[in-house]
Amino acid sequence: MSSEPIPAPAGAPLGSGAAPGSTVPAPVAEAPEESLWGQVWKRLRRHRLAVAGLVVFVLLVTASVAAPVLAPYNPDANDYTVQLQGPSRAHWLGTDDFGRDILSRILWGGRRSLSVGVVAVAIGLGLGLVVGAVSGYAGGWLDNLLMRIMDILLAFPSVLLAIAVMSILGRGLGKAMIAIGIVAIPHYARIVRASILSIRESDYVVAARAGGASHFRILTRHILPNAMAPIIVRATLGTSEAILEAAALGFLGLGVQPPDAEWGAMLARAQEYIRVAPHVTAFPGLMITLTVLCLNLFGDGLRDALDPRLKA
Amino acid sequence: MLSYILRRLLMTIPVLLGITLVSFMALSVTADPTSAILGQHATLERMADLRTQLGLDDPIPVQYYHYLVKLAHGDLGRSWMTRAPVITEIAQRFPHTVELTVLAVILSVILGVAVGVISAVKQYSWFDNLSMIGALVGVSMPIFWLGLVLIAIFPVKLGILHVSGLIDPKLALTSFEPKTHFYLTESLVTANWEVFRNVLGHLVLPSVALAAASTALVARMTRSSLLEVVNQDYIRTARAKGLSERLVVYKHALKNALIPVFTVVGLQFGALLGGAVLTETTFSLPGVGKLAVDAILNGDMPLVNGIVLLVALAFVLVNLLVDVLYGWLDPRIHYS
Repeated sequence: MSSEPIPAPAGAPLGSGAAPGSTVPAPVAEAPEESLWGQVWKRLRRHRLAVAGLVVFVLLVTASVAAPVLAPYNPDANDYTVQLQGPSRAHWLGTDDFGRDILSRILWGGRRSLSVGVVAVAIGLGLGLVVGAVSGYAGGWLDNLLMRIMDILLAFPSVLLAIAVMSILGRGLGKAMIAIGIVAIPHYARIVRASILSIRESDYVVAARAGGASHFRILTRHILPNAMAPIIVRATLGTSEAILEAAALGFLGLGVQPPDAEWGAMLARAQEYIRVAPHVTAFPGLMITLTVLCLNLFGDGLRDALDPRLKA
Repeated sequence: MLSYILRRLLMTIPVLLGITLVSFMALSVTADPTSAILGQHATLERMADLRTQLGLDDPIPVQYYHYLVKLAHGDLGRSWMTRAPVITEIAQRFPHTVELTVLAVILSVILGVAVGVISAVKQYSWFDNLSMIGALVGVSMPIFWLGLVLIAIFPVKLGILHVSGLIDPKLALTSFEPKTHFYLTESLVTANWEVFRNVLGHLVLPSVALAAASTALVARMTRSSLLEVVNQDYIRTARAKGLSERLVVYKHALKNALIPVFTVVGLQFGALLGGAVLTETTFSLPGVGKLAVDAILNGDMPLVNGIVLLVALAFVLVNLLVDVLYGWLDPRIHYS
């Protein structure tokens, strides 16, 4: 992991346009054209914690994807002869109140917990992109209206808004994804809008417009690629938030319905047996914490690597 | 300043109207409450009667208008489950949430600032590294899981503090006749120490769980803000004058470093209210968050509506307050 400090060539174009703020021309020709992602990866690699976060996260995702192969038991199979047992050779992480194997449930539950995070961010990002792009590019009353609607969404604490949306949609995993996605829209919309406002009047956009490019083309080819850095960072950190919120909804009984395994819902059940079998609460919570921690570490590193100026 | 406050207050009106519209629409699209109230054996006739009685047959804009008029009178409707006015239900529960949240804020400020200052003063020491790792874990942990872990350690393993509730029922019957619902404050003011200790004992674990994430944020913010301030000219001047390091840090640097920290605390209020939903559920505290979850699970829409409305209102007002205080703390900021 230890690589010699490389002075990252700063003149690299970000996406199709020039990176805002980077004015130094590529100094030497000996390194052939390096892609944006090559550079980002180079800078990211020096962030050991971020790389560790990424590696562990990838392992977690792989383990969840491979649950059908890896899980030693059927996650929903009850076995009343082994209720609430501690970790043993047969059940590495012990069993729950139905005698179900906790390791198998964690592996299968990971599929649901992680996919909520990803799908919710996709929903929030997709809609936020549309709202932010329309708002920033159109301006005027439409901008005002859309941003006031975003203000209203931001006026609710996020967990409360998510459960309020759930109260309309009903319970279930898919609905939890939608609720968490809706809650995230304003954050993405604001970033996209701000990026657009800052580059809308820049020379190359004016040039593109003068060249007769359509609004759609200017938006997708010139403006959005430049807004990618903050959006990607936000989406990474947003995934960790979404996973936390999904676990919260599962814990409150609004997300995944029994007997399906999901980390938050597993904790809700485990709470009832906390006096007799506290170990049952340990593992699902550890998994949530580990996942979120990895994403946060990776997101922080990515922010520094993508655009050092974004450093908090 | 006054005109700024007034303008900000006026600006919150559209947001509040929007909030009422959202919550009202939520109310009108959700399932028919009549079967929830009357049970599944109700006749169609009785259900129709009840629909008319509840005003559910009116056109939706008319219903919204009625809703707003009632709202202006402080009438949030009646809970479908208990038939009690929503405002009374909330008034009984909200004080508990306020006390829990305030305790959490106090905890996170004291702990967070202390850890942040030590980390900044001893940058890159083992304390700094350890506490920043702790801060990272703190923001990554689900509140409700931290609550469960605390329960498993303290009441279950060590037999101290409490698993759930706000006050021992026995104590509540024998030596406490609260006039308000601010149990902690009231027992403190009336010097009812037995009750105060009991209620505080019940609130310690929930407020620690609730405060964890904010403490982490406050610590990180204090640290980075102090490190930034320390490099400025007036700090160099203070040092050049020969002031002691203590005086430089606490009198000159910290004062300015705490301004951004204050904003973080203010912005945390919404997260804390959201977090209260989870902590109150974990510890079975009779606050407004637990009430909200119960109301949603029971499909009690007027109650959900009222809670969401009031919490959003509180959130908007606290943000306004933070902005105004911010200007008062930092005279460099001018409002025009």
